[in-house]
Order: sequence, then C-alpha cells, then structure tokens
Amino acid sequence: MRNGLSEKSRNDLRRVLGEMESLAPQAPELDAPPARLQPEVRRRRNPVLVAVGAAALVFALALPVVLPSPSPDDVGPANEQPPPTTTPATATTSPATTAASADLPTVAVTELETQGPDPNSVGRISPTHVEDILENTGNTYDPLPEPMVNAAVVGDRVIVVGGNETQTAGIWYSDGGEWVRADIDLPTGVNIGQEAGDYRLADGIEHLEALPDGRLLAWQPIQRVTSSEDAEGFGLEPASAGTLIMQSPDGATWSATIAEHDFTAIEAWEDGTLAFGWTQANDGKITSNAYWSEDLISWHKVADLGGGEVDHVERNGDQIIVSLSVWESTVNDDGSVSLGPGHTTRQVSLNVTSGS
Amino acid sequence: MVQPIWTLARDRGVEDAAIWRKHKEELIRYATVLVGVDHAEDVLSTVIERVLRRKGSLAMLGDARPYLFRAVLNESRGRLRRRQVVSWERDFAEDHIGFRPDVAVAVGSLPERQRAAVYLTYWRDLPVGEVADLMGCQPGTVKRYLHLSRSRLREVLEP
Repeated sequence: MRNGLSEKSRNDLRRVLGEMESLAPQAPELDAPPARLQPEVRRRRNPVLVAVGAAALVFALALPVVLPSPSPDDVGPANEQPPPTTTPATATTSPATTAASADLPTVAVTELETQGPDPNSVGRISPTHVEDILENTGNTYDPLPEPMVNAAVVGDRVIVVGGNETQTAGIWYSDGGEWVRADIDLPTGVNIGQEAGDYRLADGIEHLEALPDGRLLAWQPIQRVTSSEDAEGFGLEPASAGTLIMQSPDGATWSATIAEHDFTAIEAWEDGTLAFGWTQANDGKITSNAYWSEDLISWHKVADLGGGEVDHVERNGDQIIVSLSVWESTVNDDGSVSLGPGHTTRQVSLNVTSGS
Repeated sequence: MVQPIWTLARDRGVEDAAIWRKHKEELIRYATVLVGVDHAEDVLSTVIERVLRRKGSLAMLGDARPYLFRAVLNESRGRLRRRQVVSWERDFAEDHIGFRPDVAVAVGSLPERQRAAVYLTYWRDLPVGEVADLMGCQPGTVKRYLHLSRSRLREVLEP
C-alpha cells in the first residue's frame, strides 16, 4: 500500500493517467504567429491521435445533469420544483398571481430570443476584470492569495474577493498599500470550517458588485459539511446549503446572511432595497426562478424563468434582461447522460413594477 | 489602446521565452488531463496571453513554475465553471494492455482540483508539499483532495 492505494490499483490508475497525458497536443509557442495565440479559434485534432482506433470513451468532466431544449413551453410553474425558502408560503409563483400581493413587485416574463449554439459567447461575466482594476489602480497582483476572481473600486479603496479553498476564501481591501483581510460578521451559529455542521465556501468568493446606493454586495453559494468522521479527519463532501450574502458600506467590515437558494446572479434595484436572485433545480433538468428581497435576507419567488441556468443579468430601468444557458443532453451507450457540446442561449426580459 | 498580443510576445525578453519553452510541455500535459484534449491548447493560449499582458516578467518571479501551474489550473477551472461542462471524447488504442476504461471514466469524472492532485501525485510522483505549491493551496488541502478522490476511485479500482 502506497499513497493509500494498493500496488495494482496504483498501476491501473497510472496507466490511465499516462494515457490521458500522452494525448496532449503541441504546446503553443510564445513567438507564434497571431492565430496561434488567439484562444477559441482552433478545434483541430492531432491527426496521429485521431488515427488511433478503438473504444471511444466519453468523459463527462463536470455536472451530471440533464437539460431540456429551450421552448416557450418551459416558462411556467409546472416545470420546476421550488427549493426551500426562508420566507413564508405567501411567495407567489407566477406573474399573474404576483400582482395580487401588496408586498411583491409585479413581474412580467417575456421570452426575448433563443440564440446559439455558441458556447463561447456566454458565461458568467465578471463586472470588471480583477487584473485590469488592479493594474489601473497601481496595485500589484502577485502578493494576493490566488485566485482573485473579482474586484471593485470604492473611492480610493480597492476591494478584492477570491480564494481557492475554505481556508483562504475571503475579502481583501487596500488603500494603495498592503492588502488587509476584511472582517466578515457571520450570522450567529454559522462557522466556516471543515467540521460537521460547518459551512464551506468550496470555490472561494466569486461575486462582488457595487450597489447603486453605494453598498458593496458579495455572494457565493455555500455547502455544509455533513460529517467529520473519516480516516483523515476531514469532512465528507458537503451538500449545497444555499448562498452566503455579504454586505458592506466600505469594503472593510462586512455583515453576512444566508439565503436557502443556490443563486447564480443577483442584481440590485435602483434604490438598493430591491434585488433579484436566481436559483436552479437539479432534478433531471435545470430551471431558474426570479426571487425578490428588500433586505437580502428574506427572499420571495416572483417568477419562473423556464429552462436553463442564469449566466448573466443586465438591468435597464424597470427591465432586467436575463441570459440563460441551455445545454444539449446526450444519452451514452451505457445509459449515462452527458451535456454538450451543443448549447443554446435563451434571453428573457423581466419587466418589473414595484408593489403597491 | 490594448496592445496586440503578438507584439507583446515580440517585446518580451528572451528570459520569459526561455522559461516558457522550459515548462510548456509539462503545462500542456497538465492542461490536457484537466480539461481534455480539445481544450488544452486554448487553456495554454489564454495563460500565455495573461502572462504577456502581465506587467512584470516571469523571470522576476524567481521560480515561475508554480505560478504557471496555478495559472493553468485556474484557467481550466474557470472554463469548466463558465461552460458548466466539458466533454472529453477520445479514442484509445486497442493494444493498450491493462488499460481500464472504467478507471478512465472515473478519473475523468473527478472534480478538477481532485483530478489535478491525483495526476500530480500518482503520475508525476510529486510529494504532497510540491503538489500543494503547484496547486496554490495548503498540503492539508491536497491530502483532502486525495482522500476524496481515492474514495471515489476505489469504487472502480477496488470494488
């Protein structure tokens, strides 16, 4: 036994890893002509490798979920199972019924267009690229914990979020000198760590935006460690537990709440008190919903967005344009399901009028 | 005005070119394991672009190897996250004695950081400390990745 595996298992594993590595294409050169240095312009295969015959393997390297083709019929409450919410059951589920509530905004959902397939044209777009911000403000990138995934500037202060694991995930700020880790006031009973019951920021903190009223908003889906009983003292793979939402007036001190929804995008309304979030269900396909909150603590579902996962949100007055990704699914010979490479993009418009 | 990428390459010193030449083969192999054959070259092209647009040269880093490995892992993870899925379709030779497709599928389905830890540990034979350095995390985190990945791989390796 070495490195936790028997000799035979190690050999089997090494054969696979060696085979995967051996398929590597030629590495691009620094002084190559322009086309060689432009990402996303090549899809050629090594002819030697293509000539190798035999058992075709499909490795699905990521989410094992199934997505439907986009259809106007997807828009409607019958297509998704609502997740647990922190709010009373008075939250409405369709534009028609939303209007009856005195507290919730009226939301009209309109299918704008379906595009694609063009997987490279969409993605979760950061408001501003962190490295550009840091360079423009005279800061340096290297002293920061990596990866830093998003940044904002408030006055002379640069705020950066990121971290690649629980221990380093966090928020830093700088007034032009050294970077200081910001304090985050977590809700009572919430602990970020690896023990049973702890919360984990598995991918660091990705999202950071400056709200129209000057507040800073950061959020990140979180997981919860379900057990700490394993041979090496680490928690088991945790389950999704919602979204940690952090607010700050200045980037130095942050208060946090937890929403029981797996948000992929949040957009604040003009007065900073009205916000929308989106979640996704993973019961054979992905559907998304629009949520509303006055305080970023209690969330009310106000509309169904239909099939697809929210990639990006843009706000323009009373209108929010939502871009969703819908992936083609393929049933493999062994019955498993792979996503892609086919992909389309849906866009829907939310016309919002504040509740009376 | 943004300077075209190829002129950045032309203007960059010979030291950076030498550093890239020294590490590019192991980086493309690493990227291939992480994102598959069809996307590895794109990952490295993006990493090059970022390196060239970086203010300081690679030579100023002292040891650029960990920086480049982290850049490849971060870019790979970013692509997988943005696209939500990457299918790695590959043909393997029939005469690969002892090659186990079920293990290959299991390795391909590991989360990318776990797969990176498995590759660097079990194929490159690197110690945990060096793996942590290349992945930009603590040794304890590498051990956790290895523990989680072994738990999944044992289902096919040692049923």
